[in-house]
Amino acid sequence: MTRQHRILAIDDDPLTLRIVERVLQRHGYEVHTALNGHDGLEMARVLKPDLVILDIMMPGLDGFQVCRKLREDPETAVITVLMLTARGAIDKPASDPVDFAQRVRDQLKGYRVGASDFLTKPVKAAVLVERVQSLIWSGGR
Amino acid sequence: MSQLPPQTSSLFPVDLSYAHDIVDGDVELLQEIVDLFILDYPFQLAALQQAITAQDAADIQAKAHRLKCSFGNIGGWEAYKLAYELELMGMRGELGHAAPYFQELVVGVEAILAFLAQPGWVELAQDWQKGEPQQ
Repeated sequence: MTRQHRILAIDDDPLTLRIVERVLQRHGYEVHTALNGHDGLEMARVLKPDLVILDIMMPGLDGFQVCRKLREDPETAVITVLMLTARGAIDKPASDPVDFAQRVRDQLKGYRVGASDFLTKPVKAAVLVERVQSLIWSGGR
Repeated sequence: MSQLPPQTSSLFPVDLSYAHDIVDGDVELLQEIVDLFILDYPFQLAALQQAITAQDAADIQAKAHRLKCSFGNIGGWEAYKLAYELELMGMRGELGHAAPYFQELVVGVEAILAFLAQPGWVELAQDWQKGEPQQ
C-alpha cells in the first residue's frame, strides 16, 4: 500500500485552514494545520510533510520568513512549499496598479525564498487539489 | 476608487455557486465554514473599527485583508469588495473615506447574516449541489 501523502497547512485564517484540511482529506491526504508561523515551523520539523501550504500575510512570522526558515533548516530544507496569497481581488486582479505590482513582487520574493508555486485565495477546491497533486508528483520541481 | 462606497445589495449577499466551488460541493463543510465565520467575524470587524478609529493605515490594511479572506471563503462578494477597498486605503495611507466604507461594510455583513439566518439557505445550497438552483 502506498503511503498517504502528508500536508501541513499554515494560515492565520481558521476558515481557510478548515477548507484546505477537509478538501484535501477527502482526496486521501493526511492534513495537519497551524494557525501561525512559529507553530507551523515546529510542526514541519516533527511531521516532515511532503508539502507545506503557506499563507503569506500572517501576523508574527509571515509566509516569506517561514519559508526562509524552512530552507535554512536541514531537517525541512527540501519540503515543497505552495504559497497562498489573498493580495488583490478575485474579480479584478489588475484593477489597482500598486496592489497588482505588489502581488508580482510577492511572487518574485516567494520564489527567491524557495516557494514552488502560488495560489490566490479564496481557492476553489478543484484548483487546490490539482495543484497539490501536481506539486507532490513533481516533488516541487 | 470611488469617493463614496457602493451600496450593498441585500438580494444575494452570498454567492452560493462560488461557495459551492470552494468547498467542492460539500454542504456540510459549507455549513461548518459559515458557523466559523459567524463566530469569528465580530472580532475581526471590531479590530478593523479600532484600526480606523486610530487612523492606523498598516493595521487597517492588515485587518481589512483578513476580513476580505473570510468574506471570500463564503462567497460574500459585496462585503469582500468593500473590505478590499479598505485594504487599499490602508496600503495607500489614504484614510479620508475609511469610516463611510466601514459603515457600508457593516451593512454588507448584516445582509450576509440575514441571508444565513434564513432557515432555507442550506437547502438552497443543496439545490446548487444537485445543479438545480431554485433562486
